[in-house]
Amino acid sequence: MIHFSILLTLFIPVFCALYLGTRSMFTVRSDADEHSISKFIQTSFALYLLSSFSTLALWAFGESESIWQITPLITFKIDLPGLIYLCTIAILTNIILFYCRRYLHRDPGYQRFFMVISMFVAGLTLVAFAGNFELIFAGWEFVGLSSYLLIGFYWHRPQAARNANRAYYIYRVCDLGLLAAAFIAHLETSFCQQWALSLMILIAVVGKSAQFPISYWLPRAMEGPTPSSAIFYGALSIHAGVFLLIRTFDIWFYAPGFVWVVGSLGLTTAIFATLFGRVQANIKGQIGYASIAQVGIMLVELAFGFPNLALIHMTGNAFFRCFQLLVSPSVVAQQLQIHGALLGEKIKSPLAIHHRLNTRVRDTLYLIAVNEAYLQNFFKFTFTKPIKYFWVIIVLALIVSSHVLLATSLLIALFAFSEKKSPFRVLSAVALSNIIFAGTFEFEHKLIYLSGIGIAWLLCLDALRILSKQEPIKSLSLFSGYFGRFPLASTTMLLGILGIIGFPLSSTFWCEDQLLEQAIASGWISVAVFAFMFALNGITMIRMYSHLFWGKREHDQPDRSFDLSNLEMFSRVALFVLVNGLQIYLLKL
Amino acid sequence: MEETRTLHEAHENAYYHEVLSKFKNLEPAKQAKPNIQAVFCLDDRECSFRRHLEQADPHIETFATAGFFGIDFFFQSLNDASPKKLCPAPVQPKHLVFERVHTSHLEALENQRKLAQRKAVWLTSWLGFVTKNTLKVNVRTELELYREDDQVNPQTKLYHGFSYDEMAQRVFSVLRSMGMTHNFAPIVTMIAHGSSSLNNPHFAAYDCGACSGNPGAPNARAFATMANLAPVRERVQKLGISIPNETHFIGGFHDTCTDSVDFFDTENLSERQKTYFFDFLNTLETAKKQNAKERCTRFAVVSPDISPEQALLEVEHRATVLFEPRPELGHANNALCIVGRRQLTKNLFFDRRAFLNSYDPTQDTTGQILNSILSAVVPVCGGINLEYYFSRVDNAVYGCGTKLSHNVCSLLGVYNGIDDDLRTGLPIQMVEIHDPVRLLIIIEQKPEIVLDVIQKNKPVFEWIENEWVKLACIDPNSKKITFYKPAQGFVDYPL
Repeated sequence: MIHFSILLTLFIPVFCALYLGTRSMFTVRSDADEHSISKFIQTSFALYLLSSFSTLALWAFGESESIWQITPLITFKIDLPGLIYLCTIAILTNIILFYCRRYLHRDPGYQRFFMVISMFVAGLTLVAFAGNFELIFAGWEFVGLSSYLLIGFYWHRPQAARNANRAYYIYRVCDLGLLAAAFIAHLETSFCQQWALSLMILIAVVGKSAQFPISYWLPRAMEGPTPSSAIFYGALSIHAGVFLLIRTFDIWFYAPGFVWVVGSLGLTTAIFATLFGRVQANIKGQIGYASIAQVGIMLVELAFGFPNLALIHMTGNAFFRCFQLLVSPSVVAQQLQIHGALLGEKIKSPLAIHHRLNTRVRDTLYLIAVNEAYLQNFFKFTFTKPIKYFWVIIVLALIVSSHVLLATSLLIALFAFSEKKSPFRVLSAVALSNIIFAGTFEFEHKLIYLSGIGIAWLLCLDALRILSKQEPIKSLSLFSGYFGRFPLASTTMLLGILGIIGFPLSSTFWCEDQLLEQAIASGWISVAVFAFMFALNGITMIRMYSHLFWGKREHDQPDRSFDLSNLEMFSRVALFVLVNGLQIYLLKL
Repeated sequence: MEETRTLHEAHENAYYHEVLSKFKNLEPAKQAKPNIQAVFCLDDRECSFRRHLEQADPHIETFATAGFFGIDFFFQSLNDASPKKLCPAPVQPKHLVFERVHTSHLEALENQRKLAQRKAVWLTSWLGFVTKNTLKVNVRTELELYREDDQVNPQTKLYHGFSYDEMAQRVFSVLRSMGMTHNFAPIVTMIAHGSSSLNNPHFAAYDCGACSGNPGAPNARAFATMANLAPVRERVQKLGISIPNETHFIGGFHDTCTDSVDFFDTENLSERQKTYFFDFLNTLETAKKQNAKERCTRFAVVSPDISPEQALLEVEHRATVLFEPRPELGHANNALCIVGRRQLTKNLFFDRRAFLNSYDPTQDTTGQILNSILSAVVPVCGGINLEYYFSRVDNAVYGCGTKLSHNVCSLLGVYNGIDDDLRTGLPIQMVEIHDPVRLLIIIEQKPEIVLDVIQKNKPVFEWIENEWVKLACIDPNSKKITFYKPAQGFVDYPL
């Protein structure tokens, strides 16, 4: 019974996303259409709420089975933190959807919005039920992609496109932590293994929950519609990191001394985020930083060994920040009322100490806070810039240690990263680097992997053909904004890109799993190259997508004579999905 | 560029032609003897409300003038921490008026204030809860209108209140500008307007444009209070308008979003006045529902055959939910401004697109009144029209994009994300159904007089000569229509 309930909970959001995705190929936005979408989504998510609560009830009153293993890879864990997180997700999603049904009325992206939200909920549900790192990673990737798509919801604004890119880069790099954790978890237990595993988990947490020193991405991600910011950066996505720490509490808490790392990281974040938040001149930035600061405190609570306290704190904070973001447009009317009620007097907080500090200290703190401690620049100069030169060392090291194939594939990937003109070259170089990398290892399903990359590559090329039909694509360093003209081609291309970069659900993802296993077997150098390429190729491809399709309003109306027709698109997507399905079937057999 | 201009002008002219041809051979509408006279703001949203009111009861006569009712002042209510400017933006008021609690409610105010302050600190400021109007005190109040001395307050550099002479001057000029100089009904209501909405940073854009984007309720209340004072009536009579003793003025407030109407100071009515007033309240109920129904036809989510009762519930709902980006549609589709008698416009349907300003050309042979009307109407209505026009034609540059992703900055504006530029203009949700047509001002007066007036009034002339607004005249006697062409003056309009 509980198994059925879990499967239903997982199935509903996935189905919603798939249904709305398929549907968007065939429908044009209209008010009647909005009505049926909202009816559909409301009913499905009411069911989702029901099934998540019934899972909780079944677990609480039935036999409290905690592990349900279908295959070694697909293992669910059913425990109290997971179920509480699940119910929080279910309630908040329903609130947000109820809010959005009317709020997004007449928005061109009505259908897209609900599709992405469904995808996001699917990812989070997977995280809540996941019994191993592989599944958490899969859910994590879903959350990351939907986050990226919602930050860029108003795709024609270059600022939104840039911020979406940044969020994706950070997600991608930090997701590596999880991928690494998945494999370190299978190693023999030792002090080193424990620490490495804990550290990898923490890296994933820092990215997702925007902890120190990269918290600056989260307030900047509030580019989509207000309710989407509320559910992602106020409520659910930001707390996914805390949930991960609660889930893996037994792993990192018993790594000797590691609690100090978690605790001090949380404390630092809390202090800095409070400082930054206090000088924000805008309401969403204030709420964003306040939320980050609370997550920092949750980390401290966890470090002290109170996972249940952190769980309560997390749930409360999620509801509260979500609410605050939803009513954030009211802030002007609200302040006017407060001023009126207090007859113009200011509220003195008993906790405020800034007026007790001496001017020099206060001004210094103010400058630090206003510039967000220069963390963005610091990060740029210590991480982003050196990485451009770092590859020389890696490549040299590879050649010296006679890993010529690895060096080649890395060089090709770097070539793709620095290519600023032709999307064709970028696509092919990324595919090629993946293929060469795979070629270095012997593993069972190499053919499937190659064909998976191949078909995704073809899908992308086909979309490119559509784009350059009228005039050739000039540059990749500028925003071209093709989404308005070619919405269908753009979606096909995104699918292809996801296939190439090994997004969960695609066959390449399952192969990369085995690839990593092989890489680990053949030594740390190949693992490092794999990790580097995993992050680099994801960034390259997503950056290309944003630059091609977003950031500029070229045309308001889709260009039907040049874009793919509905049927063409459907046939391509269907073929892609079928091939992938077949490959996965073959893999699992 | 040239082609776009031609096409756009063709679009405008098609609409102007349709409107102007309605005035050809138009019989002046009849007005039965009024029991109630209602004075509204010239706002285009009141255009349909007046029509429904008149249709519901022929014994109601309606007028309209700029919504600050000639009372230019700073006003501080019990719920404000600082004074608000309540007059058109270019006017610099010299008076400040406070609202004070009625002596019978001193204790209630004290209690409510304490509760509100506690809520303000704990619930709203610390926890961020916000609900509609819970921090406001609600007691019986009166306005500190009268000033005995003739001194400017040294702190505020303003006169605190008005002298009787100043009041009389204001009451007189407003009544005269509307042509409301005789035939007073037992009840005259001055109905200002504002709009209530929740979770809406652009709330000021829905309020009264003639009150600098604030609700005009204090102006209506002040005007009614002034006009009821015996010393003021004496002075008004000396200036030339005699208001009968049995006429009583009542200030009111129309919420254009929920279509509710409230009145101030309705205590001192005689029995006869009470009967008329209660009848009027009943009529208002009907008019509210009909008006709500007419407004609902523009909302895409509302079925066209909604009943008037449901329509009223629907518009009330819109003002009270957090997730409604279109509490009302504001001035969307405004395109006309008609300065003239009600008999000219009463039988015509303008689809809520017309600013209507009452003006009696027969009482203004020199154009002096017209001059004062145009100095207020042209910048206010023209400004509103151009704001909508530019926000509609290029929303990315002159408008502020979609409302859904806005982030309130420093309590002074909105932008997207957290490090963007401040956005000016109107959001797409307010202008998406706006038909970008420049304002056509139709004046019921002889073209010679109008020409004389606008040529002497430089700021107004700039608007007309540069074609920021268009101008047409209807001769009150011959009904001939003339159209203003820059550098040529008025030319006959072929119909």
